[in-house]
Parts: sequence; structure tokens; C-alpha cells
Amino acid sequence: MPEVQPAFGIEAPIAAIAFVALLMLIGYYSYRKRVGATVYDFFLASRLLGYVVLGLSLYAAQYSGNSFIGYAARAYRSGFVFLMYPTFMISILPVTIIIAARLIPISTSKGLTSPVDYIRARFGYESGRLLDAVVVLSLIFLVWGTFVQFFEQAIAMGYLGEVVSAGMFPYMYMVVVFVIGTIVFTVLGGFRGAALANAIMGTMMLVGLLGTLALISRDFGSVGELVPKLAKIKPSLIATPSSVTTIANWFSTIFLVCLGAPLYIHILQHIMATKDPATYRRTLLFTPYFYILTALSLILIGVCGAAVIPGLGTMESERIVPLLVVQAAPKDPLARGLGLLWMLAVLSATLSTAATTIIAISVTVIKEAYRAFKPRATEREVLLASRVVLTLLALLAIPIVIEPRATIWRWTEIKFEGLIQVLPAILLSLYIPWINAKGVLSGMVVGAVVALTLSLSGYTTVQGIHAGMIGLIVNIATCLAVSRATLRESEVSHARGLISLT
Amino acid sequence: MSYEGIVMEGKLGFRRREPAKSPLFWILWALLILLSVPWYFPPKTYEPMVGGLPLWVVVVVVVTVAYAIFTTVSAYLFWR
Repeated sequence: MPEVQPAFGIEAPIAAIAFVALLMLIGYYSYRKRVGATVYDFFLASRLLGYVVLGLSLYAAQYSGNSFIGYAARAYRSGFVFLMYPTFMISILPVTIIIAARLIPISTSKGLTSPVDYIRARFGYESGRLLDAVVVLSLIFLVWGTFVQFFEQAIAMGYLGEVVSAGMFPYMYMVVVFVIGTIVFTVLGGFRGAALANAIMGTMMLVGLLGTLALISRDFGSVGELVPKLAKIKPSLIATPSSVTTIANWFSTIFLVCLGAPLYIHILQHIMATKDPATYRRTLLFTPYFYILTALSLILIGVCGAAVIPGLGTMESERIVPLLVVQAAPKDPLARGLGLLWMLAVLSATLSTAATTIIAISVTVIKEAYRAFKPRATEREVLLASRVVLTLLALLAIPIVIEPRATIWRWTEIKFEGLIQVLPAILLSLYIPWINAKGVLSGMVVGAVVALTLSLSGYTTVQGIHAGMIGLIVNIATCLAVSRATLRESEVSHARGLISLT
Repeated sequence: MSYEGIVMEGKLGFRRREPAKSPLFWILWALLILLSVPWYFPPKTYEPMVGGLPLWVVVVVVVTVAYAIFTTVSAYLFWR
């Protein structure tokens, strides 16, 4: 890592601690107001999320520490080829529309709150082991994707803290502090605290990001000056994709992310918590432009970073964004102020994403566990147990993130490659009534085996196409074939009954 | 206006329109994704440059902006 001087004095940790304390106060206030007191509230903030809060929450849930740190770093390494980023982020929205168009009315009329509730309702004609197997396997994929999203936040915070403190707080120390901070924040707050914080931070993040880009232009040269500089030092960063494989990988990444990201447990819960389709529709008046502005800014920061601080290795480059902020920060009070604002925005957005993901996982898992082993438990018991699970899960992340082994971007790919295997169970089953439990189960098993076998034997991509995407294609084909072969009219009419609620 | 996307379903019995049932939605969507990937530019080139940015970058950004507009519009046009 290049030598950096501490950019901020004692004001940085003080501001960070004061800020987190404020967020916790919001969480505690909502807790005292009895929001989050019941399982239902804890999950869904009582279906009261308005469209601005919902839209900003969804935005901040998709963009937080991992993208601010890790995706800009990916642009540093691969250059403008990472223009796939705005496309795959925007692509999440039409896929979400397609899911929401059916899932919102079904959830409202059936009172469903989690993706597992939906799976149980959709394949409810099956009783016993087969339904349990579908639920458990889906849950594994859903939890996997959401859990990786959680620990990616911790990795990002580790890099940010380390660089901002000029190594005074090492990566490892930052990671542990962040995870423990998240546990405390979440246990006291609940969903509304996290959702509100997410919404406020979403806006602050975008302002801070544009400020950072302006600072880079002022101190190191505008985009129009820095990009031609790259043409001399590393032209591959600004050139068109070099091969058909790169093009195929570009398409594969778009599909991987846009099919995976709407399937996070917390995103599906956000959708299911929406009062009606009109509320969700209104979020689309502004979210696509937030998505695009953020992604483009991060690419420009990463690419400009390659001109300003060239030659960082793969893992070193993960620190590019904080390195740039730190280099610009000591120059004057405005730069320091903006740098601090940016840092706090990323910190809190990351914290609230971490909180939202870990709540979603723990409540979903614990609800299923109680359903299986103690169906008559009180709400208080369930909530307490979910907090214990939450703490254990968060602590489980520490050994993984202390030695991250891969870049944040690589974790993102692995995350979605697992998560998308649940696509037939959730998306296809909303539209195709003859898809049945046997089909979904066999599809998931075959898809996962194909994806894992390819990955473990060194083929993380085949001609640029991700192993998980190949797994998904086999998964869908198997699901359709098995569903057709084992088709029963009674099951189809059950499914039709649910789907026609839309 | 196309009525292909309209389905007569739902417990309230009013007309609903879904994006997934409109061929126009799928065609536009596929076209935008297809154009957002610069396969139609020669490989490994960054020239010509426009205002300090390679032309292919500008084209991809313009397509992406169109894609964002498509998302907003389709939420209203194809989904009622």
C-alpha cells in the first residue's frame, strides 16, 4: 500500500462514534415507540413505508460499502469495461417490477411477509418432507446471498477505516469493531431504525460521492484530462473489450446481478412490505437515475484513480477510493469537510445495510425453526431467539472477513451465483402455474451441483459465462422438465388460485 | 395503445396490465440490454475520443440513460 499520511485527526473517530450514537438513538426511539416490538413490526415496519422512504431504502440497500469501496476498485482494475455496472444495476429494476407485479398483491391478500412464506403458500399442496426440502434448500441459497452481502460490508469498512486512519486502526481491528457495532445497533433498533437510516444515508451518500468526484477533478484534473492520460500509461483501461469472452462475460454479469439482486431476503421483504403496487411504482420515478448516477460516478472515480495512483496490485486496489479521498483531504477545510461527510455517509449506509441483511436472515431462519420445533412460541420468545441468532451469525462473519481471500467483486459474483438458484422457486413460479415442488427441488439440486462442480474444478467462468449462470440454465431446464413430467391438475389449480390473486 | 398486456383477472375484477405480458416491454428491454454492451465496436480501441472520453464509452452511457428512462416509463405504461 502506498504511504499515506493520516488525513484526519481525532475528529474522524469522534464524528464516527457520535454519528453511530445518533443512528442508535433513532433506532432506540422507534423501539420505544413500540415499532419493532412485535415480530411483524420488526420485519416490516407495519407496511407503512412511503414511496420516498421505500425507494431510498431500496437504493441504499443496493448501494453501500461494498459498491462504494469494492466496485470502484473493480473499475480501477478493469477500466471502462466495468461500464457493465450501471447496466446491471438498472437491470435489477425491470426484474424487480416483474416480481413485484405479482408478489405485492399476493402478499397483501395472503398476509405473507417473507420469501419463505411465499414458497410455502405456492407449493402448499405438498405436505411433509418434499415441501420442507424445498423450503430448506431455498433458505440455504437465500441466506447465502444475503449473508455474503452482510460480510462484504464488513470488508469494505475494514479497508475504509484502515486507510482513513492511515493504518492507525488496522483492517482487522476495524472489522471486529464494525461487526460488534452492527450487532448492538440492530438489536436495539429493528427494521424501522435501519430503514429510516438507510433512506437518509442514501441521499447523503450520493451527495458525498458527487463531492468526492468534484474534489478529484479539482485536485488531480478533470475526467477529460485524466482519461487521455490513461491512453498513454494503460490504454487497455479505456479500450473496448478485447475479446468475445469479455463480451460474453459482460452479458453474463448483467444477468447474474439483475436476476440475483432482487432475490436478497431483505429486498423481497421490502417488496412484500409495500402497501400496493402504486407505492412501489412511484419509487421508479427517481431510483433509476440515482442508480445510474451512483454507478457512473464510481466508475469514473475508479478509472481516474488509475491515472492518479497507478500500479496498485489487486488487493491493494481495494483501497483506491479511501486513498483518493485521503490524498485530497489535507489540502483545505472544504476538502476535509467533504471527505468527512463522505466517510460518515458510507459508514452509516454500510452499517444500515449490514443491519438490514442480518435482521432479515435471523428472523427468517428463526421463524422457520420455531415453525418446525415449537409452533406455539410467543412473539417475545421468537424475537429474543432471533436476536441470539443474529449475534451468532454476525460473529460467524468475523473469521471470514479477517482474511477475505478474494476481492469484494469476486465475493459479489460468488454471492449471486448461489442466490440465483432460487429464481425458479420465486420468480418463475409466480408466472408458470404448472411449475411444481418436485421441479423446483430437482432444479435447485442439479443447478447447484453444476455450478459448484465447475467452480471447484477451476472453471469459475466458461467462455466468460459464470459457472452459476450455467448452473441456473440447467436448473431452469430441469425444473421445467420435471414439473412437466410430474404434472398434476390439482396442483396446477392450487397454484393458479394463488397467482390469480394478482 | 396495445391491449395485449391486459388480463381480466383479480379479485376486484378490474382490468390489470402486467409488464411480463407485454411483448413490447420484452422487445424494448432486450434491445436496450443488447445495445448496452459494446460488441458492435471494434475490439481493443479507444478512438475516436469525444471530449476526453472514448466514443464507445459515450454511446454506452447514452444507452444506459435510455435504459433508465425505459424503466420509469415501463412501470407506468406496462403496469397498471
